[in-house]
Amino acid sequence: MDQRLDFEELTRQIRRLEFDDGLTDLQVSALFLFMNLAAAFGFSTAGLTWFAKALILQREITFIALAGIFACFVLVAFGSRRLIARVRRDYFWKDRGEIVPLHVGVDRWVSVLSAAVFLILTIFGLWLLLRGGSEDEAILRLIIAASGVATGITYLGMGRSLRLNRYLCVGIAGGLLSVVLFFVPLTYSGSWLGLGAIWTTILLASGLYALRRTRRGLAEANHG
Amino acid sequence: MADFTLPSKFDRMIHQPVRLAIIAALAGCESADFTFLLNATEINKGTLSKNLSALEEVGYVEITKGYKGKIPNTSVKLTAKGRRAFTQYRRQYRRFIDSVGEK
Repeated sequence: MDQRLDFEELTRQIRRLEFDDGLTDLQVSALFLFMNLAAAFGFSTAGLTWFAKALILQREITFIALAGIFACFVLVAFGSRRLIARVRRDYFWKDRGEIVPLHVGVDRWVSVLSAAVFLILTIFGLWLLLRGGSEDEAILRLIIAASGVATGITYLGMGRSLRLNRYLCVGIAGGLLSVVLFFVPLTYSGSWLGLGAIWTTILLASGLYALRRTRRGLAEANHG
Repeated sequence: MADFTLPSKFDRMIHQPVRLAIIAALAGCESADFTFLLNATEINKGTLSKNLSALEEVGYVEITKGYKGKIPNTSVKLTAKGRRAFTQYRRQYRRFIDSVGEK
């Protein structure tokens, strides 16, 4: 063992394992798609009309259906975690041994900063809404853009603390595109769809890129 | 008076290359198995085993022996006490390095 141990780097390398193979990005991208599609439908005229009608005509069934959708989401989230663990155990980490990644992979200061940015922009939007005079949909778009910017800050922070350039790119691209989304004259529902499209695409691209690199690295190691 | 701790006053259980490597590796995850620690720290089996026992004795790590399928598996986890001690060690170490003007 190297006596001049860079222990900070060792800790960082191991924290990075959770994100190196891109599987987490693919999982988060799928969850983003699911959540934003649900939000886009829920806040669309068709969705709101359907929901109102369903509440009047079939109240119990509506609540059961909503609980079912929520249960599906939770199941997909936990199921995909188990699937990722399985893939890593059987393929990516086969000879390396196994770890259980940290439950919270984000540094506290990153979470606090991202939550603060989201809250400040949201409170500002709500203040404008209550004050009146501004275009309602633009204010609602501000709240959606705020969640995109906060997500961007989270990825930037993770990229910085883990020294993962891929996440720096993800954070900058996602954050900037979320700001652009604010200036696009979309409906509230359309903006949710836009946000979903931005983050799903970016995380999918990031995940596939990392996955391809991991697979190539494994193939080279097996043949070398 | 200097506002840093001298290395001679660092936690001896952590300020030793082999144990520092083990704890630094465990700090990056919730838990790791024995094979992973062997690969990550590049320590031999005997030394790893001996130092893990020492860390377990002071309550810095928790060792769980079990099976994964039919294969025996040893899982090691940094306890809350161990994590706190490592955080404090990192703080002292950084302060000391800063004070001597090296990176």
